[in-house]
Amino acid sequence: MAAAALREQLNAHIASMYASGMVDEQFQQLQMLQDDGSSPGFVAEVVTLFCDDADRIITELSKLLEQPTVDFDKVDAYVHQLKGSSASVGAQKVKFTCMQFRQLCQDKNRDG
Amino acid sequence: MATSSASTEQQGRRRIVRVLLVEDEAIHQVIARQLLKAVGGVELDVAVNGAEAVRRVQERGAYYYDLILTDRQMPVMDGHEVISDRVGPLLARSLADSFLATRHRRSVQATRQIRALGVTTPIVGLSSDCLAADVDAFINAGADDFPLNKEKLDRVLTKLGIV
Repeated sequence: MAAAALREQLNAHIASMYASGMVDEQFQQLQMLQDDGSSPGFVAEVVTLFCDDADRIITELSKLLEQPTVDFDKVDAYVHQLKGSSASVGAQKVKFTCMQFRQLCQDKNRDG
Repeated sequence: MATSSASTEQQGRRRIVRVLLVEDEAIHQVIARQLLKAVGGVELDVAVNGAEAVRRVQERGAYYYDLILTDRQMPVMDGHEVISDRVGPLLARSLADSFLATRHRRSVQATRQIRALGVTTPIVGLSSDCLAADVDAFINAGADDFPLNKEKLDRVLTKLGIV
């Protein structure tokens, strides 16, 4: 009973993530890959890797943006990496934010 | 249709598809592995950069791999360098019997280079990070399908007669 309630809660949470645009179809693809195979921890593994990656990248971005002269090429490279991994896991909002961020890098807009 | 280099299983069994994944990021390795596992019947080798991919192709032979999935940007030789520079001819021969899938939008350039080598094998993009304009550009450059998911990968492999 407790497991069923937890499952229902999880499904509701995932549904709200789709509804709010936080995740997109790619996240559904990952769920389907997990359901297809014999890897019940697949989605959790991918999400964990994404969070660890994102944490590392954001730390590096913070250091770069604190410099008196910002190396926008390096910033853009990190943002590009984050955009790629966010797109791969279906983290839509992060992906769109990265796209905007990359435009600011191209404009050399530090304040943006 | 190009002949596949996949080994032939016993009669009635599906052929094994030999795939070389060229990817340095763990998250993409994990996703690609699961995608290929879902397809089934795949032997997977992983190279973490273009130079290692070249070595693997040289060691295994031009016709060993049926499919090469490569990231556009990697440390130590990018994917497009793997295609077009010193290992271009070797990879082109391999590509005659397999097809190259590139992950990033700049794979449009790699696709054109491959076509310029006279390779007619279908080229498929493996990426969830694409805009409609990028998909069009990739297909206009000569690719066959983009982006890639399990259903499309299965369809393309079937279309090529690899599985």
